[in-house]
Amino acid sequence: MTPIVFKPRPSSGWLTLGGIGFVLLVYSVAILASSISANTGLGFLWPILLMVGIGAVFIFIAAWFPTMRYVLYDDTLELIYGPLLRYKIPLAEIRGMRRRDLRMSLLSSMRLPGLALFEVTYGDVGKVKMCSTAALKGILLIETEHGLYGITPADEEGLVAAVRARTGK
Amino acid sequence: MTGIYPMAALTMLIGAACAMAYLATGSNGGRKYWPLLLLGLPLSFLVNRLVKGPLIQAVITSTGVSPSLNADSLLWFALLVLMTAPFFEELVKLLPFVLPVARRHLAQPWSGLWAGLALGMSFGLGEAAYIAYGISQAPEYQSMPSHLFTGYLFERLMVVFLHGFLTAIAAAGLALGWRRAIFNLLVAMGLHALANSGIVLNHLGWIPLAWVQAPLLLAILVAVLYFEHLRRRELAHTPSEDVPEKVYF
Repeated sequence: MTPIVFKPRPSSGWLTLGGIGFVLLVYSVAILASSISANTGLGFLWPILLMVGIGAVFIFIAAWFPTMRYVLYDDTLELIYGPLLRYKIPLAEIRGMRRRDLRMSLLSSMRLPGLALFEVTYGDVGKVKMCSTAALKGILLIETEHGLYGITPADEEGLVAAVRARTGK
Repeated sequence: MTGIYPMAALTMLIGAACAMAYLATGSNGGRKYWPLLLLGLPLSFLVNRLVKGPLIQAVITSTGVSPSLNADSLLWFALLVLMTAPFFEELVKLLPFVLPVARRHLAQPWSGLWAGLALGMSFGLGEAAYIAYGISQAPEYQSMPSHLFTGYLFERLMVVFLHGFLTAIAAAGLALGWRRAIFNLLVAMGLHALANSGIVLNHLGWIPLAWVQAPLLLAILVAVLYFEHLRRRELAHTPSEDVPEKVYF
C-alpha cells in the first residue's frame, strides 16, 4: 500500500521555540554591544557565547517545525521532525492507542507550550517519546512493547483507523 | 514612587501565573488548590514583624552582641541569624492548615503535598511584596528605575517556587503520622537554611560574593528532586480525578 502521511494539529509551538531563541540572541548581542561600546572588556565572553549557541539551537529546531509528520507504511509508523527526530514504530509492536491529557513533571526535557520532542517525563505516565504539537493536552499515546510514544495528528480518527486496518486490532 | 514597586507587581503577577499554571497542569484536579494561593500572602509580613524581628532584637538587647554580621561576629549569633528564618517560616507556612479550607486537603495520605505547594508559593509571593517594601525604604534605591531591579525579579521568582517546594515537603508528612511529619519538617528547615547560608557565610567572610547564590541554587535543585520523589509517592496513593481518556484499542 502507498504510505499515508498524517500532519500534526496546528499549534504555535514554533513561535514559542523561535521566540525564546530570538530573545536569547538579541539579549546576548545587546550585552556584547554595550560592553564593547563601554570598553569594559570581554572577560565574560563565554557565557554570552553560550547564550548565542543556545539561542541558535532553539531557532534551528523551530525552523523544522513545518516538517513534523506521521507516515504510515504497511508495517511501520514513522514519527518525523526534520532531520532531528525519526521514531520508527513497528505496527506489530503496538499494543494500544488512547488519547488523554498528561500531567506535567518538573524534570527537564524538550517540552514547551505547543511542542514536545524527544523523551519527555510526565507526572502520571512516566517517560514518553514525543513528536507532538502539544505538550500536555489531547496527546494520542501509542503503547508499544518498548514504551510509550506521544503524537497529535490533526486527523486522529483517520490515523487510528488506518493503523487498525493494517494491524487487524 | 520608587522603581521597585512596578517590578514587584510584575514579579507577583508572573509568580502567581506560574503557580496557578503549575498547580493546574501538575497536580490531580489542580484548580481546587488555587484558593490557597491567597492564604499565605500576609504570613511573611506577620512572621517578620511579630516574631523574627522582635526575637533577634531581644537577643541583641539582652546579650549586647553586635547586630551587624561580619568576620568578627560570634558563631552562635551567626547560627541564630541563619536558623531563625528556616525555623519560624517553615512553621508559619503550615499555619493555614488549621483552617478548614486548607485542612480538608489533608484528608488522605500524601494529599498535603499540593496544598503545601500552594501555601508555600503564596508565602513567597507575600514575601516578594514585603521585601519590595523594605527596598523602597532604603534611600539609595529611591531614584533607581524599575528595569534595574531585574535581579530582584529573577531571585524572587526562584524563591517563590523554593518556598512552595519546601512547604510541600513539610505538608506531605502531616497526614502520615508525627514521625514522618517531624522528619519532613526538618528536611524543609534544613534546605531553607542551606538556601540562606550563602549570604550569611559571605558576611562572615567565609565565601566570596560570587558564590553567594550557589547554596540557593543547590537548595532549589535538591528541593525539586525531593519534591519529585514525594510526588511519585502521592501519585501511587491518589486515585486519578477527571482525566478524560479515550481508549481506541
